[in-house]
Amino acid sequence: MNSKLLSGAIIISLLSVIAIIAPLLTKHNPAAITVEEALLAPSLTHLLGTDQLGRDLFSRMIYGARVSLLVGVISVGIATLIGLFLGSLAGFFGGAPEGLIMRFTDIMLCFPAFFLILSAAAILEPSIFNIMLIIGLTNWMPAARLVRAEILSLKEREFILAAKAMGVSNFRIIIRHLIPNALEPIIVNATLGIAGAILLESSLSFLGLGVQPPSPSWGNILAESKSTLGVAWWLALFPGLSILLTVLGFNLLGEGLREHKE
Amino acid sequence: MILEVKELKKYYPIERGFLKTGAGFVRAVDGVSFSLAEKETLGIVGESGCGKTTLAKLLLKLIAATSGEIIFSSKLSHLRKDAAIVFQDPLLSLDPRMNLRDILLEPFQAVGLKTDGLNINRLLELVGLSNALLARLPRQLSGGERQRACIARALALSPKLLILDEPLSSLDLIIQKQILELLLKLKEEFGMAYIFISHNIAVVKKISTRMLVMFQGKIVEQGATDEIFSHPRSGYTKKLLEAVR
Repeated sequence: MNSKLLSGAIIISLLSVIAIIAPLLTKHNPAAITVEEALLAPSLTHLLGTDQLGRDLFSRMIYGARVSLLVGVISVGIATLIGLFLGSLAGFFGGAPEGLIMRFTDIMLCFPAFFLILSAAAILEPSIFNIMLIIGLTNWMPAARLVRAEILSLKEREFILAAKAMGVSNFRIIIRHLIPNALEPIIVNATLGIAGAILLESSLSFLGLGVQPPSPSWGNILAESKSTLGVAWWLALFPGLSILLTVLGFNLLGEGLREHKE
Repeated sequence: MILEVKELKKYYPIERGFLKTGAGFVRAVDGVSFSLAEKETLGIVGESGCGKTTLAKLLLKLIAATSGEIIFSSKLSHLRKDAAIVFQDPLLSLDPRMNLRDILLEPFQAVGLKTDGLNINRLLELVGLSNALLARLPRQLSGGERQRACIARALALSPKLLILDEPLSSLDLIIQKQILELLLKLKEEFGMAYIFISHNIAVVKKISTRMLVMFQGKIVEQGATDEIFSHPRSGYTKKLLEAVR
């Protein structure tokens, strides 16, 4: 256990616990509007202050953590599953299927990813589910390349040859031998991917194409803070710091896992 | 006759440059013909890189031959079930993420056979492993235990032919002796045919009744083991024999 892995794990587990037990941590409803309490600075009643509608920022932040973590994990889950499927097909069978899949991957990589996501988000109805789907469908390419490379090197190993000699089916070889042995780098890659997905969700929400109000997400809290930035610094600072901390946490976790493996 | 090989060839093209134009071939196996009788032990001897392992892979159809044919008798009609192989390095030929139980279950599952603890215990007993090891991963077993596990896995479906590709080379001397004795005992018990591949001519003498000597993909000499040892004809065999004397 190295220090990166440890600090990453602590940050992420702390954030996850906060997100899960959010209702227990605050007595304020994140959606309750109290106009007379608008734009209050952080105090003991409102730990992180209130926004222009008088909603408690601390409650909105911890409920927003649920959205951010969920979007990060699910969208990377989608991307990794697609990557596993296409990458293992390409790596295992080679030849024409491999050429087709990998050229398609190259084409997908040629699109400037953020604009692809922007246009997809603009066409589809913005909802949390669609955001996860869009991020997942536009970020599977590195996973597919990684899986293919891992499978290419694994499939020449002697234990795969031994399995073939026993008549183990191709499907079973992929599921039982190749993917389990390729899983470590894929998990590291996914962990690093979660940080990117959380940033993407925040950017989309900031542009108004992500999670829609009144559901709180760190990105849309930041977006709403723009208009009151001169008088309410806390509305921009705390969501920004949370995003920073989460992305840092996942990056530390991913880097730590990679070093731990080596 | 359980197996007959006629003029078997495996050439690997040497690709060079951007256009991958053929710059010739590596003749890994170059026109090999031999046959194997039921319950016979055939030794194949030769130095590293002479095509022994390629020949083993060709026999099991793990790679496609360039030309020539392999005729299997009805005894080997279901090749994956009736023939099995034990590789040189047991650590490499076992999935590092599977425990011993899953490793031994796999041959049964591969051909869609239901199996129970009884079969596994019988296999363990055959090769002299304790069933306390069932939950261990390959890296948690000793070298000898790993090779016994590989042999047990190969025996799972009662094959008629067992190919042993340098099964002793990665083991230390005492374990080599034990495994060799195990192989002789199993042969007596099951009466399957062995193809025993080795660069160690002394070991081949101990186990096989007939042998082939391979050099650069070709068979330079074949016949009864005793005959080859007392009257080697080819120069290469003489050199091999001198090396062990």
